[in-house]
Amino acid sequence: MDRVSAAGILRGGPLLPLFLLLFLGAVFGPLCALVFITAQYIPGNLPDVIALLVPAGRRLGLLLSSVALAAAVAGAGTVIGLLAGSLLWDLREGVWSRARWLVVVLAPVPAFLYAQAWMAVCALLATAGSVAAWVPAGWVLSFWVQLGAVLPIAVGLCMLAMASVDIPSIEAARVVAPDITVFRRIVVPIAAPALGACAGLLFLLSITDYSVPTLFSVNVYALEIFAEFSASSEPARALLLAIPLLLVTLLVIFATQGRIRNLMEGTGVFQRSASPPEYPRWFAALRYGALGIVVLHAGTLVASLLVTAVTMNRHLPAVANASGDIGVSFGIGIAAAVCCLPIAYAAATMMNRSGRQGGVWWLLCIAPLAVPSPLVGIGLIVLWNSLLPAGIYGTAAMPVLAALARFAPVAALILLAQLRHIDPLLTDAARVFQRGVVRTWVQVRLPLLAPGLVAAACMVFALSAGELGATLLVIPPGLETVTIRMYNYLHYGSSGAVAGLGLVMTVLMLAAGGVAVAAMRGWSRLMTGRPSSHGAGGDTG
Amino acid sequence: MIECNDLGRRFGTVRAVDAVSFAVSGDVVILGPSGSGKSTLLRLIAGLEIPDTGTIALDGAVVSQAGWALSPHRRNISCMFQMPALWPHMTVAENVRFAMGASRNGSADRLDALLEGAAITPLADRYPREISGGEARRVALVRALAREAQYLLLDEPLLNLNRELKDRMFDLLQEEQRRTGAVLVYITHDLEEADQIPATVLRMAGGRLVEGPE
Repeated sequence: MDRVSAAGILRGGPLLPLFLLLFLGAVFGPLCALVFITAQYIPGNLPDVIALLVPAGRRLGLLLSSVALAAAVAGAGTVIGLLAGSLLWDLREGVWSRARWLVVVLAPVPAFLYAQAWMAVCALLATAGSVAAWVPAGWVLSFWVQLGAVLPIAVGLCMLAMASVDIPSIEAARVVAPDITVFRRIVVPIAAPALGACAGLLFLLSITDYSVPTLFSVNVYALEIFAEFSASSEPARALLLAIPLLLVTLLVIFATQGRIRNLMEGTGVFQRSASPPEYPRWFAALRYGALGIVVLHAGTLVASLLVTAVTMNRHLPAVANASGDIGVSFGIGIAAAVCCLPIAYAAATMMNRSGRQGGVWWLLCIAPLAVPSPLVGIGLIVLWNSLLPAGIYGTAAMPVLAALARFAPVAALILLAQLRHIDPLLTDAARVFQRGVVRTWVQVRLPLLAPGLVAAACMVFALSAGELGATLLVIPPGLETVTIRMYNYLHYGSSGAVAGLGLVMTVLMLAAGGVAVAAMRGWSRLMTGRPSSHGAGGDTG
Repeated sequence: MIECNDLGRRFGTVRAVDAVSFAVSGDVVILGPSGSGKSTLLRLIAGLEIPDTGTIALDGAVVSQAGWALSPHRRNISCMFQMPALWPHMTVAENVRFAMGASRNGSADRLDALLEGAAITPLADRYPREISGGEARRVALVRALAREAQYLLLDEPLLNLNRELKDRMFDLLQEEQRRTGAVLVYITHDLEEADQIPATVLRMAGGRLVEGPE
């Protein structure tokens, strides 16, 4: 059905232009400020500019190794996500049928919490005599931890990819070919756009993150941007240095953007074939192996948290000391979640429109995903300290603005997915029977949008509370978030002190993820009359 | 020979197929209104649904029983669903060729003959999104015929086709059936269509068999 219909009724009304303006300001303001100040810097510093723009020597090596690390994480994550996701997708009974949701709940847990868990494991192994020599370090450990951190997202996206393959296509093939052939020739090619989107997203998450690599003494290009700004205090140099990385990330974004958009399409009803597929043993072993890796990572995280919980008495002082930081993180998360909803919704309604307008807004919403977090922080400093000294710089609003700049597009994408899964007929009916704008909003639009709003708010809350790259630069003197405190502890090797804080953070993240998943499942039940984990076979009577 | 014994399939509280028993050798037409359980019965025979009760045997070999079903591709069946279900990443010719693959008769001549028979030769290199709904149904039927399986399961194959195309597709179906000797399981709600097929008629209503051989 034409999406325009849904977009028409769900548009934001007279406040739409204001919210759109705020969205553009929040997301692109810091970047525009950076570009403005860089334009002033360029004329008098041409040799410097060229040297920064063209990576050579050590910097070229750093860029290539960063791309290699991100590509390895994205490739391995997508393959493991596909294998484990397809297995979880096929499991329809017992505990495992619900395990897929547990995996997805882990998605907002920040990477450095996995780092903390694996550092503890490595420390334990290092004391175990003969095994000590085999304990991974550096690049390998960084890859392993980043992989673990993105696996919940990978599994979730791959399950969405499986959902994008319609059941009749699979069943028509199952009649004529073995299930492994159906998987290879039908399922994977049809799901390929969504799988490409998954790989693209994992690549972006990995290449723009420096928190995990630096914990394992691996230098990456994203850190170089931060280091350049710290050393020179020159925002223009940071932007110029970042441009090679930006080109890579933008290339990935544009190569996968249509695919990410396709991922938003779909029935909204998760379907599976009624009779389970039969795969050869080698493939079944691969799928269980992939699931094993997912479980190993999740299990290591959970085990480290359980050990912390059991010995919580020892960690209470550290938690008590950080109670102020916990409050700051919570406050930033809540403020960002609340502020982002109206502007993200406005952007989502624009993306949902057909034609060029929708396409332009789509680009405006996904392009910011390519921006490394330190650039956002530096841009905010330029904007509010140099260009618009309006009393915002140096206040608690700065980390909230950083979170908005980074995660409002994410919220917009979640809300777009929700808008696209709303049957246009429902909104058309509301249009016909409309009894006042407020009443229609409260009785029709909000209930239809509620799961998306809840999911987007929870995701923004979790991401903002765990944000490091931009927050580190803009947090005002006297304030600190739990993430910054934990990162500092981990960076200087006092991993024991972060255990309790890690538990607190993870509980916060899991609670946010759990609420988001519960909202989406509740909506699915409302739309289909049954939980979304059930098969499609039930509809074929 | 298709034998169903006390076959049942329930979705929640709805008994889509309820204690259906019959044994038929040769072609069979399953008649009934919407929601009578015809399509579910066909999916059970195809192995796409697992029965809650009863058994299905093809040529004496049990292929489905409560809680278990032999994989669809091991049943020597071919199938056309109510929806064309064409694979969107394959052209029309590739869709048909994929179905031919398992039959070892995937020659270019045979592909050409089938496409010609259904008057869809000009569509061979088009993707499903580039053809109309009626054309897609014809491609789906050709794909089912291309398999040359022992049992040919067709769910409303001529739905929404005009008279001329209906006749043409019906001729193609009969010609292919004569050539391969396939047993036809033909689902329709159209009495006139059912009359054209010399076959045992089963009537279903409310998930139950209301007329047919025991």
